[in-house]
Amino acid sequence: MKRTFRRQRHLYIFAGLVGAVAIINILFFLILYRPARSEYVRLQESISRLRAERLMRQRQVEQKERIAAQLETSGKDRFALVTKHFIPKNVGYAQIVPELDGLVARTGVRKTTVNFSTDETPRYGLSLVKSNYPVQGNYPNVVNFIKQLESSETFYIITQVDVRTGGDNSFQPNAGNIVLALNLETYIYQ
Amino acid sequence: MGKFDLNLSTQPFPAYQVKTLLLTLGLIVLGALSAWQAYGFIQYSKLAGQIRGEAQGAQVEAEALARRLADMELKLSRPEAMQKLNEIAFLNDIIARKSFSWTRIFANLEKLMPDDVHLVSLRPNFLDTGEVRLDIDVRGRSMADIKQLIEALQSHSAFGLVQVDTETKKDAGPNMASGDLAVTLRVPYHQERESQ
Repeated sequence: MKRTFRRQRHLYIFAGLVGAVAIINILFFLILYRPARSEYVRLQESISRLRAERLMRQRQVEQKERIAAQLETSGKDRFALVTKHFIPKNVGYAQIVPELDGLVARTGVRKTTVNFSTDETPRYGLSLVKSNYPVQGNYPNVVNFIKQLESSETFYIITQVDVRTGGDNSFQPNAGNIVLALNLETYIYQ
Repeated sequence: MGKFDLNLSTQPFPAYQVKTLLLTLGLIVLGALSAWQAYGFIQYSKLAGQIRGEAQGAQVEAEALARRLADMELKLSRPEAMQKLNEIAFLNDIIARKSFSWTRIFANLEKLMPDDVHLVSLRPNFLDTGEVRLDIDVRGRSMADIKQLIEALQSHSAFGLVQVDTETKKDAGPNMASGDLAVTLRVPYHQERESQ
């Protein structure tokens, strides 16, 4: 049988102690250190995520509140917009035709055959009036006519501009006579 | 009486010194590791304790905002609200189309249009995304002229990347020589960049 000497026994005890400390270290790491660190990291990530969510939701709430506020005043705003910029049904073409003729006369352009059409089914109480408005003149006058349409208090919306043949067919300030066909839209309210 | 460090055994003791030294070193390292772990544990526990309240507060706030948002969405999704919103969108679209400046477009085209290219038609399209796309029909003597116009448009800050939609070789007609090219261009237009 192998004999164990005193110094060898001491060495074994010492090695056992070192081993026990190592095991305690591993257990400490697994049971205490790692969960504490994970919880801290998780809380930090959670705070960052929640802050981002809060910011996004705050913006969404503000946007919805703005819309809700708009809804409350929408009736009044609609009335102001419609009565100021659109044409009452009882007036209708009696306003459209002379107003456009006035612009033609003021800007020195000439108009040829104008076609009008009215959309019979109104949307939100507004009937769409479309017209094809051919105007002829020198370049500055034609541009001035368009400028007058843009600044007119009644909404005349240009949806398309066609440069017709018969003029110089050029779109330059030095062009002589140009012929444009403007597609216009305006609205009549009930 | 003096002691003699004399090993008289028949089987000499193995050398323990190196092993003891290594074990001592290991113990020191483990001790340092224990201290570091204990310090880390205390620090992380303390920091977690400090921010736990903050995390709970943020959670409560986020939930309160989510409830408020849900309430607002419910309020805005009612039929009468939806109808009003659609009407507002319709009126806003009219205002957007009215705000479109044709004179500014013409001023740009005056500068950008090459001599041998003629404008035939111009239509703005107001997209659902809020962007404006111009459909421009032009005629030119050659592709080189059209290319010049495309380059000029693309170099202007208010216009985006030009896309050629159709290209047709035309017969002779009024104000037009045989072999003229009719081209439809599509180009995004950013009116807001004009005023910058």
